[in-house]
Parts: sequence; C-alpha cells; structure tokens
Amino acid sequence: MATDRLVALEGGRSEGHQRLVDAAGGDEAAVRWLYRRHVDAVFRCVARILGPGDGDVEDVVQQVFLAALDGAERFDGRSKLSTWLVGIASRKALDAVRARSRRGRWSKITELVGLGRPAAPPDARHDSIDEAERALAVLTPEQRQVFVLHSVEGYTFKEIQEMTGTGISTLHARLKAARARIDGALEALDGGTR
Amino acid sequence: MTARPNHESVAAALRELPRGPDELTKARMEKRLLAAARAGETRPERGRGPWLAAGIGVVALAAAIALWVRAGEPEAPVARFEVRDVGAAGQRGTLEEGSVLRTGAQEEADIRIADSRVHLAPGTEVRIAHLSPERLSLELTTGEVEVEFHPRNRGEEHLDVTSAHARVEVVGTVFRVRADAAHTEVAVSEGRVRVVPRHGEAPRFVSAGESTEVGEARAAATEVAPAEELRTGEVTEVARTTETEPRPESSESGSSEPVLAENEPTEPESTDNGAVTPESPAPRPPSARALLARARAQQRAHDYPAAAATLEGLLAGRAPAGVRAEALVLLGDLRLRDDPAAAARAYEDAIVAGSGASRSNALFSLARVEERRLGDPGRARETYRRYLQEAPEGALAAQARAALCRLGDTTSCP
Repeated sequence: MATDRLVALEGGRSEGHQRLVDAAGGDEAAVRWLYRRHVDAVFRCVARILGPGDGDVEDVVQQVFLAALDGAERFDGRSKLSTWLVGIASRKALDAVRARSRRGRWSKITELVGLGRPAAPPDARHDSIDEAERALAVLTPEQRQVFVLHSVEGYTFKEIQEMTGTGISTLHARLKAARARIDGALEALDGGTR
Repeated sequence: MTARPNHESVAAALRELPRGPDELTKARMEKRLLAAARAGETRPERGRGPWLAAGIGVVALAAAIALWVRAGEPEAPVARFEVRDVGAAGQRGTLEEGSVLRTGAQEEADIRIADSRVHLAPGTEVRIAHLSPERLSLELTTGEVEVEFHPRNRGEEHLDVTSAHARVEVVGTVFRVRADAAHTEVAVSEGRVRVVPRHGEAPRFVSAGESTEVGEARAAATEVAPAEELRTGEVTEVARTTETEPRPESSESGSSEPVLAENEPTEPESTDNGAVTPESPAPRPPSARALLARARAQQRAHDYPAAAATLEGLLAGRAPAGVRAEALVLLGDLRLRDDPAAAARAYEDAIVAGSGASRSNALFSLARVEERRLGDPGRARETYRRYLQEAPEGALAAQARAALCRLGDTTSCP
C-alpha cells in the first residue's frame, strides 16, 4: 500500500516537522531534505491526477513545495508530513485541472478524442496503462482526486477528508460515481475498439 | 488485462505508473525549487480584498496586451534531451534556459531542438544559456559537443557555443567543439562557422573540412611540452586551415575526428585576414589532445588494445592536466572489462590529475568500480560521498545518492 510506504519513509515526525520549519526559514539543506524525502510521493500524486505525460506536472510539483514552505506554520504535526504534502499536491493538481477547464482546453481536448485523453498523451508502456489513463480522463477533477487518492494511492477516507476538507459522505459519493463512470467508459471503449 | 477491465484494473494499472520522476528530472526540479525558494517565490498573497479584483483586471489587461503584442510570434522552442550509457537506451526529458546537462565517463547525450541536434560526448558539461526561437546559446564547460544546426529560417535563427576561450557562431552547419581548461577546438564538417576568441583576438571563419583551436597562451605555455609551445602560441592568434582530403588519422580510425596538429605547418604563413594556411606540412609529433582524439576513435572502432596503447603513449609524455585526466578516465574505461583494479587505479590517478567535471566523472567512475566490480561497499560509499561533496547538483548526483541508499546510507534515500 502506498500509505505503508509513506509511513516507512516518514522516519520520524518530529524531525520532518523541524525540517519543514527550518526549510521555511530559509535553510537550504532542510529544503533539500524535504524535497528529496517527499518528491516521489508528491510527483506521483500530481502526475496521476493530471496524467503522467502532462507538461504541467513539474510546475505543479514546484508549486506544492513552495506552498508547503509558505504555509509551514499551518502544519501542526498531528498528521503525517507526507499526508499533509500529498494533500497540498492533490489540491494543486485539482486547481491545475480546473484552471485548464476554465480555459476550455480540457473540454476541447476531451471533445476531440471522444472519451477524452489527458492533455498530453501518456508515456504509456502498456496498453493497460494507456487504457487506464483514457478511462481516468472521463472523470471530473473532483472524482479524479478521490479516485486517485483512495483507489490508487491507498489513503483512507478520513485521511482524504483531512487533506481536502471534503466530508466523508461526499467523498464516498464521488468515488462511487467515479467508479461507475470508469466502468461505463471502459465498456464503451471495449465495444468501440475491440 | 485478461478479464474485462473495470475501475479496479484501472486503479491497478495506475499504481504502476508513474513511480516518480527520473533522476535527471528530480535533479532539475530540485535546482528549480532551490532557486525559487532563494528568490522568495511563494504562492499568491491573500487577503487583499478589493485590491484583488483590481489587480486581476490589471493583470488581465496586461496579458491581453502581451498576447496582442506577441501574436504571430513563434512559440518558444523545446529542448529535449536523452542521456544514455554508450550504445544503450537512456533517460529523457526537456531542458530549459539555465539547465546544465552533464554526461558521465561512459555516457553520451543528445539535445534536440526543432531540426537541430547537439551530441554530447562522454565527460561533457553544457549549459543552455539562451533558448528562444531566434537564438540558442550553449556554454560548453568541458568535453565535446557535435552540433548539427539546420535553421528553418536561415538568417533569422542563430546558434552559438561558448567556451572559456571562444564563442562559435553558426550559420547552418555540422561542427564539433571540444573544450578543456586550456583549449577549445572547433572542427567543421559542413557549412561554415565564425569563431570569436574571447580574449581579444580577431574573429575567424572556419569552413567545412577545416578546424581551429583557441587557447590561453600564457597559461597553456607553462603546461605544454616544448614542441607544442609554438603551436599553442599560434592558435591563440590564427585559424589553421587544414586539407579537406581525408587524413591518415581519420582514415585509420574511420571517424570524423577533428583535424589536429600532426600535419600542421611549422612556420605558418599569415594571410591577409590573419589566418594561416598550411603550405608545407612537416611531420610533427602528435599533440596530447590529438592522441586522446585518436584513442577515442580507436575505442569507438572497438580497437581497445590500440586505444590503450595510444593512451599509454600519451601518458608517458607531457600533457596538460585536463587532457591527462581525460586520458586516465578513458584508460580506466578500457581496463574495466579485464582488470577492474587497474581501472580503479586509473580513475584514482584521474582524480589527482583532474579538476572540475573531469575530476567528478572520475570520482563517480571509481565509486562504480568499487561498488560493482571490486565488491568494496565501504570504499564505494566514501567515493560516492566525495563525488556528492564536489558535484552536489551534478547530473550524476541523483545516481550517487541512489547508490548510497542502495549501499545502506539511509540518509540518502528518497
């Protein structure tokens, strides 16, 4: 489970919290520590919400770490630092998707390709991943967020609630809708291409 | 998927990709983050109330003006790179202005921008100094690049390569630039380039089949062998034109190595524009750099015994420190297959002889041998740490950290 791995990587909350405070205070070594410790998890979360081949992933990852430095005082140490960062990552990724929707880019691309592929074609190594990416593209940003965090990353609803501020019943409903939408899209894809 | 795919198989497939950014991407992102943190970049400030709406309006107006002004301008080019072990598939990504790309002792890389290509030989460091539709500027710190520049709009697109000694301005051509601490050599295969020495000498044009060399006369004169002193003095002021016929060295190696000192004139004759044309080529001992180029060509031709013999000959004589370090690293690479201990000794000698990127590459190569061929994880850890101390943001730094993590240094684990 992704959660287990993140807990293992955490290594000690107090150290992580202290490093965050140091990093926010301008300590470059602490910035490096924070980045190296958590970049994989943050990148993974952002890439799964935006799509791995998306050209904005790196920018959003950068925004996540800068936001963490800027808002370090709001981390109270009660949750895991990794969970807090992934929460920021999911919100930033969601913001990016919404911004794109506002610009009409996302919907235009979706129209162009029928089911809607990610903005940039994923660097897929397997058909199954390519197919999964196509399926994910049919979700709304909010559905995508909860599907990625719960079904892919393995976070609990309580953790996702802490990350996003969304109520658990809403998260349940979004996940249910997401699953139904993916299944429907895959059926359509199956009928259309096989 | 064998069964009908559903949301569970979608989730399972997504868990496989992506696991995280590749090492080069990580290093690039880390550098960007540190730069942004240093500059005090943060998210937009909040709580500005009514000012926010006004601000948005101003920004929107500015953006509209900018869009109007920029309408019709070509999009910024994208510099894509691939770094790989020699002859193998490798890591890919994009570079931006300010990015530095380094190749290890056994790596090579390509940067592609539109229809043009820049090939980085092993042990090369290049910085993208400027990247725009009109101009691409590369800074060659050390090593060798081969450039194929094919502008879509000739005369409107420019490329230049700057080293410590010269700037090479390109019109549209294929050429090679090699730089170390003492010299910069330029050899042109197609078209023509303009070489502008950085220390006051007059610019010169170099055409297809010709090569030239620019160096630091006073600094280099203390390092080179007596037989090369004249040559070093010459090259700071002149462009040496060489014959366009295939040279013996090239035909032996089957490569297109830049034409070097062996057949150069002993008494160069100045032309009107200050260039020197060889009139009566007299045999001279090959320079250390020529020997290194020959050894590389022999290595590429898989003639390893000949390459080793060439390098031993080079190392037996006098050579600039940078060339000596490069030769030792190459010798280490050649020894690696049959005698890892000898390879390690060569890398150690290169560490002593070299500086900058060549020294860092030697450190990394030594650490790899200690880890993988000599089975000495303790020494390997120490050497990887030395590498990271010297090149904490190098392209191999992430690999060094991964190796340290692999060797039990948990503080280096991501």
